[in-house]
Amino acid sequence: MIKIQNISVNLDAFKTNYSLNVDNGEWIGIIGQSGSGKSTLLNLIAGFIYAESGSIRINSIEINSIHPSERPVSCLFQENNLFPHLSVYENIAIGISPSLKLNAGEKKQIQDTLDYLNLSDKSNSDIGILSGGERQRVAIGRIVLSNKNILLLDEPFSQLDPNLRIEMLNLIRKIRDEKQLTIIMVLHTPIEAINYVDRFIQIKNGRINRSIKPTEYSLEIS
Amino acid sequence: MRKYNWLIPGLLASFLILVIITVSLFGIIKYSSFKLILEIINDRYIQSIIYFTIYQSLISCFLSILIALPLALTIQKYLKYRLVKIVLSLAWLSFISPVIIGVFAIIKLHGISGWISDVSLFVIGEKLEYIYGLNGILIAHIFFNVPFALRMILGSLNTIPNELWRVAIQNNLNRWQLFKILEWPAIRNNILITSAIIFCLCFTSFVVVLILGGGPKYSIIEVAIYYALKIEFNIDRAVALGIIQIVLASVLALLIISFTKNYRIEPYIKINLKIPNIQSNNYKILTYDIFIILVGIAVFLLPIIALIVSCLKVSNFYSLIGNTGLLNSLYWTIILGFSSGILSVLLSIMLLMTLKILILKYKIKWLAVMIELSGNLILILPPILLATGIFLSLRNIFNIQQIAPYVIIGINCLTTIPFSIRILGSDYIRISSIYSRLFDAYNIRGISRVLKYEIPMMRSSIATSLAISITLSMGDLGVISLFGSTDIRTLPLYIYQSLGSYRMDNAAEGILLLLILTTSIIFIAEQIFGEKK
Repeated sequence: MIKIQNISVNLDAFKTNYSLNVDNGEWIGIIGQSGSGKSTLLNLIAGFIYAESGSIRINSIEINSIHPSERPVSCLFQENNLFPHLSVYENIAIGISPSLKLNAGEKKQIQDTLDYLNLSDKSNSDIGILSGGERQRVAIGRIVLSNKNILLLDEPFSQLDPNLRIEMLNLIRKIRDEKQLTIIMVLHTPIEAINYVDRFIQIKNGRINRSIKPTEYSLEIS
Repeated sequence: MRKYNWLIPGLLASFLILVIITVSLFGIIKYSSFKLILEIINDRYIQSIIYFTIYQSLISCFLSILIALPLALTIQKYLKYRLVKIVLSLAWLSFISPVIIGVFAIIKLHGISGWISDVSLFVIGEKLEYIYGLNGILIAHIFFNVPFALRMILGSLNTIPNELWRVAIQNNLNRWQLFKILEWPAIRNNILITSAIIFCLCFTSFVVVLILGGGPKYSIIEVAIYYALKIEFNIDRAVALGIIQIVLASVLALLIISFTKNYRIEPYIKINLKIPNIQSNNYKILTYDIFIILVGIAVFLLPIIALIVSCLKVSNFYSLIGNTGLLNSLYWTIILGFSSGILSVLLSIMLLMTLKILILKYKIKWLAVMIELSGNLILILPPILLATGIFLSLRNIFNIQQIAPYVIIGINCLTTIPFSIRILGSDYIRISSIYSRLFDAYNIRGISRVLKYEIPMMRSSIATSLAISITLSMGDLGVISLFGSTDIRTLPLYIYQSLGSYRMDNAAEGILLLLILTTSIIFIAEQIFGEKK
């Protein structure tokens, strides 16, 4: 369980104050206007920003002062998820060995992940020749390998076309079901996620405004 | 302690740089006294040199802009033609190639045995002698700086949105109105920056003034230091001139840093102007355009043609192999150029490794400024002065001839560090900030992060800065002329000595080798290690 209590950090326009509980295996969609502090919440959980006050606990362990790499958290960003000088294979390999020194078992794991994501034929390809969807699949491959049970998604599919976005959400759901992941996802088009998330959290001026069930949200917009 | 490991590379690089500078300053201070400086400043000859240094820089700067501005406004309409692009690329190449190559091209065209003199002999029956002195200096400075100014102005014109050009054409703005309403506001700020840079380049234009100045009468401060040390062996005068140069160069460096801090000067020409076709069917406009383009051809195309022709005349390429003096110069050019170029990029990366963390993570601006300043100190300490200081400091301790290669590598390395930092800096900071979250998420840090991730992603800018550092070092004539000897001689020194003794064929052979060497380095850097598509 993720337990966030009065986490605050000073942004240019305002000071945030988040309090939120997320159950294990839950899928949360974060909605709100641009600049409201959605990505800041993810950055705080991932450890890319350190909180000035408050606490974040994951399964009762305080993680505020823990380095991002030691938190049980994986991230998928909108862009720049991949290193352009490395191949598809190497980008996925970072998930288990950033030094890229791999033993036989790790190589097998990477090959299995490539097969799972239908990327086997692109294994040695340069990142530059991949489509937007393929790039995000490579980044997902790295996340799958890293074996962390919390996944933070920061508008990861907003640059893809609508059909591909749905395809990616289905892939994430499949992985979540298999690996029992907890997901917190910042959304660009909330309506597309209605069938996937367990609830929406609305953020306004750096504070959690309210929690909405997907059914309520679809009623509101209709 | 491990927590502060990131400070080590930057502090180590700063320390090495400061050691060289301190040794040099020690030599200068040891030989200077306030009384001596006052005496020398009041010397009429010194005053005339200061006056001439500033005067020729101002005139060169003014004439370069005066030619580049109408040329840029005219040439923008014809950039779609391949030939125009090739000419611009050639001109730009002449700007970044060793200065001595350009000076040789100028002599081939304007010299006493040059093409223009040959034509004049045929037409009016006598040869023209105008190349040595102020005329030659101005012609060379225009040749070098017009392509640079042209590039800067074309870059500014490129910022005008396409829609505004269409509005201007729809509203039938005439040429003057186009300039006043559309073009001038876009280029106005850049003209000031370009002028400042050209002024500084002319102010420290050692090679041009040494070769074309024709003697002490037309000399700038740096060349006067060279004459004082090498010919008169008047150390007092060299030191006094050095101090004057530091003061004036400090003012200039402050000016240029404040002017250019937000600008990145691209090393290669990639102009893709969006300007739509402007009708040139008006007879007067067409005549004007032709006139302006002819001026452009006269300024930088003719010298380049003269250079190419004289290189082609080195018909017996195999005879070069038998010329041991030339081959020895080629050897030292490669050894010294590559050593100082590689060292320069290495020290720049070390400085940036620390700067990046100071700027991005800790936001400690003052320490970042101090470390960056150590890399840029060379801007106020011209290489010839640095060499003078080191010569004075070490001459009683070491055999100067024995340590000469290391001194030359060290000084040329320092000379190119500001360029390397400029080229590498923005790319390094950009990559670090884009991928910082990924680096943190997967615990990628330390030397493995630099070697496996950051350097491979910066290969294009590393290749560019290496190429520029190596070619600049290879083109050095100031430091090598002080520390060089018959054993240690680079191609620029070989060419300079050949020109001095009117052995033009030998000079042409040296030029050919230097040209092949430097253009190959630039080509390899751009085409093979350049931007990966």
